[in-house]
Amino acid sequence: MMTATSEDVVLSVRGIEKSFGSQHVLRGVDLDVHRGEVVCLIGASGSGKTSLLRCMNLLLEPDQGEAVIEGAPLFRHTKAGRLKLSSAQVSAVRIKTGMVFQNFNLFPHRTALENIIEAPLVVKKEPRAAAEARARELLARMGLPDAGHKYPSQLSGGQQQRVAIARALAMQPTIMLFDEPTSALDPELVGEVLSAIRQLAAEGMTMVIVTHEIGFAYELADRVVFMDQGVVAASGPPRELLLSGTNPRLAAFVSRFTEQARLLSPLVAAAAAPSTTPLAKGM
Amino acid sequence: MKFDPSIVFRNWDLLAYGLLITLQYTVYTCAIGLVIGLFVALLQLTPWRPLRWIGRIWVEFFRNIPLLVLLLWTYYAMPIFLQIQISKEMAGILGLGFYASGFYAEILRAGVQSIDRGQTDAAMVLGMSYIQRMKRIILPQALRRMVPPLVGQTIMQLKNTTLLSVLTIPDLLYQAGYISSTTYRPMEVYTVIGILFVLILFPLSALSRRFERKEAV
Repeated sequence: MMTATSEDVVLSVRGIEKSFGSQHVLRGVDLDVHRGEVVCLIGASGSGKTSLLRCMNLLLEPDQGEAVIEGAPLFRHTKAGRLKLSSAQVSAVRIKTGMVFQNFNLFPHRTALENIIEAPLVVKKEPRAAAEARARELLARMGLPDAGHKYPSQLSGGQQQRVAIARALAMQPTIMLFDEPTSALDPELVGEVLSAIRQLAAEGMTMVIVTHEIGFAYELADRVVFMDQGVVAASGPPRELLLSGTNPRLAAFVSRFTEQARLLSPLVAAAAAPSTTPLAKGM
Repeated sequence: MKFDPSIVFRNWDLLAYGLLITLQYTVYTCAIGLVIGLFVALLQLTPWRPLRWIGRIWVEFFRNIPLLVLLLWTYYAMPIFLQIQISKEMAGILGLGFYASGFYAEILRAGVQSIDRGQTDAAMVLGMSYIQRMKRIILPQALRRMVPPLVGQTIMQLKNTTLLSVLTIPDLLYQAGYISSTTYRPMEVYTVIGILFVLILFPLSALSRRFERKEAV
């Protein structure tokens, strides 16, 4: 289920460098994300994929490099000089991105509905009625039509993450950034979140997804980017990239998953276990 | 010797006046402490290092100086240093208020910093400004966590007013000393005073615990 990818670049980062003390986590990363494209960032822990994602909307400030979202500069610090933006200017560019976090980060003192309408009300100054109407519609799309009045603590992890996706969508972003959206979930809740993301992809949303779900990346991504030691070590369509084995470190990374799949194959053969396969597309 | 608390209650007017003074000073010094404490906490939360240092030094100074020393210094030493006149009431209020500010500042700072970094991330990504984040996301959550330690510090503050008696401010303990010396009944007087403090403060701590339970949901 490949979506058509136009040449229009939505988000572009160039020469991103980032160190934490002596840890050099990003060593000059370039990446363009095109409209409607789904890019999955994979790689071992510590390879820099989450840092790269956070640099894309400047939640993390790179030491050097450049980030542009829909033609609007968000960050530039190159040999040619440094771009100085006020926090309001940064914010105006940043809200073109919607972000979903590993730990959901819902506001615990607000109901699901209040979580979703918070930024439209406060940041975009939308009328409450309009914001609420769209929030309800988004909740319904996320399969949670009755969750609006519930507090995050009353929802399961999978439900919380779907509310978090709805909250990000409420600001009508042009690109969605997902930071390991299923890593904090119990295995039986992973499917519902993946199918929500799958649905967004089918609607043509531009997305960058940091994930450990390599099967999901294989199925959904237009392009898989393999990060290793702070650089893009390999990048390409999932089928070619994941099955080619030209990059030995990528091959080793993928083999851990295929090894697990091999061990599980008797179970899959014995019963078409519905709980392990994600929900059908489109819900 | 027979234990006869009625001797104490015969002087109930002195006790009532002492209690009034104690409560009055608690309210004044807590208010001063909270206002200065909030300001000092904000200093410590700024990204600007010199301001953080000023806040830090303030907190460390007033948290580490013994209250009795601070009160005596404010009343007897500070006027000479600064060449000013200061009443014992003013010295008591300033000493206790500044002392409280160090503790309140720490409670407020720690409360804000205890909120998960992810909350700030989420609010930033949604485009909220620093003020919006603080007002709508961070402080409402932090305040709930701060209530029990703030109540605890306020209880300490009320108890600390007993030290005002060394400046001859007629608080509850000072009146107790007076009654004790005129009636020669320290056994009854100090027992009643001790129980009185417990009776005043117990509802406050019970209320705080109830609030804590309600917020734990």
